[in-house]
Amino acid sequence: MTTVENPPHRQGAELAGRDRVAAALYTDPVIYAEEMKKIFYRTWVWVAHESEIPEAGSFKTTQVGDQPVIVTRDRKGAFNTLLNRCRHRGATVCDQRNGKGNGFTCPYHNWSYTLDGRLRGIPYPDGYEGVVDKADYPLQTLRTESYLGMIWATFNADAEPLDDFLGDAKIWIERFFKQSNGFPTKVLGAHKFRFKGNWKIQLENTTDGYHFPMVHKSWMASVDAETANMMSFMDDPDAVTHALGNGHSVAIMAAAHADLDVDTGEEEVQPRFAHLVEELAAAGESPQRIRRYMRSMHGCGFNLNMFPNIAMSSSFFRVLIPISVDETEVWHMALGMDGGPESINRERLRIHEHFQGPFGFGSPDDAEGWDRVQIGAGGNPLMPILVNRGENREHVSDEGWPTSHVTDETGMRESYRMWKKMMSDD
Amino acid sequence: MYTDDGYYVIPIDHEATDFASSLNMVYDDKRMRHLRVERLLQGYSPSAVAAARTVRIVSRFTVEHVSDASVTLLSAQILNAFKRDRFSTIGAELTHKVVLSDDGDRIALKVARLIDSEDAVSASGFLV
Repeated sequence: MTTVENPPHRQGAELAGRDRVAAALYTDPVIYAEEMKKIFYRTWVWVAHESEIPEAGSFKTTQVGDQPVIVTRDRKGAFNTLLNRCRHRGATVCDQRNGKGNGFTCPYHNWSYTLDGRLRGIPYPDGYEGVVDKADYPLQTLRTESYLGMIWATFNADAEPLDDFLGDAKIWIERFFKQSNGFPTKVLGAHKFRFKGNWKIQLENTTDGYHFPMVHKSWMASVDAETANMMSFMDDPDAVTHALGNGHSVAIMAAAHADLDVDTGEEEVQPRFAHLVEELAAAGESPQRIRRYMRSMHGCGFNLNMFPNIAMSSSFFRVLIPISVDETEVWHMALGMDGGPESINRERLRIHEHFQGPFGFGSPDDAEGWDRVQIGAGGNPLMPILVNRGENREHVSDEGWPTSHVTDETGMRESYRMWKKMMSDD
Repeated sequence: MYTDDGYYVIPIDHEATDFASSLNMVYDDKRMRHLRVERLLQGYSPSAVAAARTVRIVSRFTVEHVSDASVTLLSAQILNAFKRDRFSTIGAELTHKVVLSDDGDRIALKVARLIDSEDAVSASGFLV
């Protein structure tokens, strides 16, 4: 008699409990297809930062779930998200990662569209007289809203306003951007890599403080003592995770940086940045300003995890793009100050390169664990994935947020609560 | 193998030349190269411990520049990696600037431009 159950397929929502979910959530392609329909086509999905499309005519291509889209800034300065699919016979109308132009022309029969998706021109229109009215065939448009330069899109015309969806995450988005020290935030570049595992494995990891000193021991051994110390939060009672509602959560690792406007004066500027301090002083920056710059070098000390696909992770954005049930693409977008000191922007690039991306000292070790999760989880699809750490000590904060230690799984329980809610809604 | 002020770079943007001001996958000075080797050998890194078995070929050498002081070579590299039942092939255009001296020739700059550098590369920490 076997102890591995392989019952007929069950609806995804039934397989998620309050503090554990069936491993089938990572491995079942039918559940994955359900997620596309019930989550990615219905909710707000992050698509861009405004600095990636800085001018009228700027565009980038990305995905909302498994759907190819183009995000543009049009002549009026509005953001648009357009399904990258010609209304004629379905070809993509844009094949570039990003760029600037005055519209999009399909390579097949040259139907052309404006930056906001209107069908502008059809060659040899004689064959369409009385058959096609251009006004009826724009590129499909997704609702697009933004908050502090972060742009989200949704296929769902009835979705709540973005503001409501973000809820208390907005407080933390505002705090995150304090690391730009008054300058506009600018995406400086992106690392992109794929791992052989389900998107929810990465979604969990962003809010997983527990793994840090074990998986990232090699990174900790390679940095200066002050940087390693900053990330030594395992026994720090101020290092907490708050569930923020709607699947969002914030995991605070370096509490001293969580609000960069708050400076007790205790923190010492790291010796590794002495050369920058010298350079900035020589350029005439005040000691207060230099201190503020140095305290913000590693970012804001917390991971804000927003359901389903975007995290603002200390000093960079982490984007999840589901490719298939067992493959996910991840972007780590490095950030700098637009117009700020170039020496600091360069140092931020170096810090980012050291940990992130396919050759960093951190990300490949995360991916190793995730690849093994995907393999192991296939072993018994109904055996639960436990997300119950910290249930013995979770409490509600003054703000009304379920809260526990940063090594606990409060954030994961919040994500799966939202997941179950959306997957239950037919 | 490298000069003290030499760099090993794996850029993201294929056209980039100012690597210091760009985001790269690797931008290693002497200190970072040393740390990277340590990481590969010390046994803490799960991905390094489970490194893929690799074989690589470097060929198609052309000389971009030559003088009494240095030689700059262009070449192509194909690397094949096998791990957990999967092969992956990584192609790259290489540039080596080699500084010539009486006590040994050393690399002042090595640039590996992966042909998929602007898209998703597999998390390849075991390489390099």
